[in-house]
Amino acid sequence: MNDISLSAITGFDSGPTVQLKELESDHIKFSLSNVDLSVANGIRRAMIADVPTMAIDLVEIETNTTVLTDEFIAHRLGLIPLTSTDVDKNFAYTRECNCTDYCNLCSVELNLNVKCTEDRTMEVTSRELISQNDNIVPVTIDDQDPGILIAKMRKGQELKLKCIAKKGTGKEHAKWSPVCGVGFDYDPYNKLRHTTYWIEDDEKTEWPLSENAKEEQPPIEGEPFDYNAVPNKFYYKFETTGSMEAKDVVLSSLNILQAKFDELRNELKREQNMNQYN
Amino acid sequence: MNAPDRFELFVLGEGQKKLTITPDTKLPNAATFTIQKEDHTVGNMLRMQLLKNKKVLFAGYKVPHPLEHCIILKIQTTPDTTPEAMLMEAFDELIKEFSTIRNKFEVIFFFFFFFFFFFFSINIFFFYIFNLE
Amino acid sequence: MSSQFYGDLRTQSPQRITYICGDCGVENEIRAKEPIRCRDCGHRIMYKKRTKRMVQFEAR
Repeated sequence: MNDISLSAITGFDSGPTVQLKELESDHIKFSLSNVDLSVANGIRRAMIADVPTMAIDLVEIETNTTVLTDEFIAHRLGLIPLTSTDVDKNFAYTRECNCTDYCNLCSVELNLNVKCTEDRTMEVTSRELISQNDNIVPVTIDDQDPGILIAKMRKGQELKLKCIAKKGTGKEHAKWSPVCGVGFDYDPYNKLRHTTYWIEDDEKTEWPLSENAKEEQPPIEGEPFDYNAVPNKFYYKFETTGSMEAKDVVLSSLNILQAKFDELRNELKREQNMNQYN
Repeated sequence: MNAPDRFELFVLGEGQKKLTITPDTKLPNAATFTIQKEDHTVGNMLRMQLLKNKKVLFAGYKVPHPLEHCIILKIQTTPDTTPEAMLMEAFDELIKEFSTIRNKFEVIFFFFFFFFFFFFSINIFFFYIFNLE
Repeated sequence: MSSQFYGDLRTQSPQRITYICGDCGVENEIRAKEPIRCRDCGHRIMYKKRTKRMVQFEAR
């Protein structure tokens, strides 16, 4: 079960095709063919910047006697990934919500209350954050995962704060991006000459081939340059922060792009109708 | 202190319209579309889709300034159609394309889990068989 | 990154402000026009306590 492609299953090939190479809950490897470069890049950009997630946005600090400053700790808390499956459906953006300030429909409250009482260094991790909503909790890989380190405390130091997590997108701040390290590749043999390699002596020894080169035919020696060729097959490989499943990120990005064009289409229709009466 | 709010990248301001159409005064069958609060993600895709259409003579987009979050899209078409109609076609084709890609993904993900479940249950089956002996 | 202050919890400004000694960490009550000196160790550097107002930060 190495490669699954829809054309292999149905025996019918038309339009965009997808070949799934690897799929785990936190990473995915697939290739997309028969789409335009702009569409492939658009999907990549949408996965990074437009997929909504939950992340801590406001921090109210009551007590902080640690060596880290208030804003330093607040910044660290913002970067902690929170499980955000189906956040698009279940939560509204705080600026669109009818409440004043924030409420349960647009935000989640998390509390942190730790004091070091033992003689040894106490490590405050994301596991100590207690969420009011069991679906939105700091991401942990398994039971052995100690959690993300927030601060270290000495005996007598205390940290007490209240966090408000809100829905947002990577466009607003990178903490809301569900994805880390999006690998995007096409034309591994540079047959399209979209790039020029910086070399000292020899291209083949200095620039190792990408693993996607297995999927394509190497260029034949002395072959004339095909000036009509366009990029056709795009290889994606990315990991998520744990806030969403990798497949959900892909599906969500496609939904969002479709919704963007839907909205623009409706606006155009409205403008056309208005101009009709002028 | 002077930094504008980050949400201004995607939230429409007071009195701002998402899409504004300005017909071109000097060229026939040409118009400029200003789309607010969008960036290269949408702009490049629209431009490429328009260029695929034979009736479009000119299609180009730019982000006039990185601190102003909008794109302007210029379209010129053959006399038998209008830029608005071509843009509408481009929207329809892109929406259809995303719908197709999404369906392909959903089927692939379903099959992935189906195969996984299938092999998993086969293993459990053999496990029980060998344990009974 | 800005901090916003939510209104003062106490309605009257108190005259009993406790300061923390720089050396021994003991809380001393120092009134106005009183010489600054720790009760226990005699250290002359005092620190003010953290405000009771809730400080809010944007986690960015």
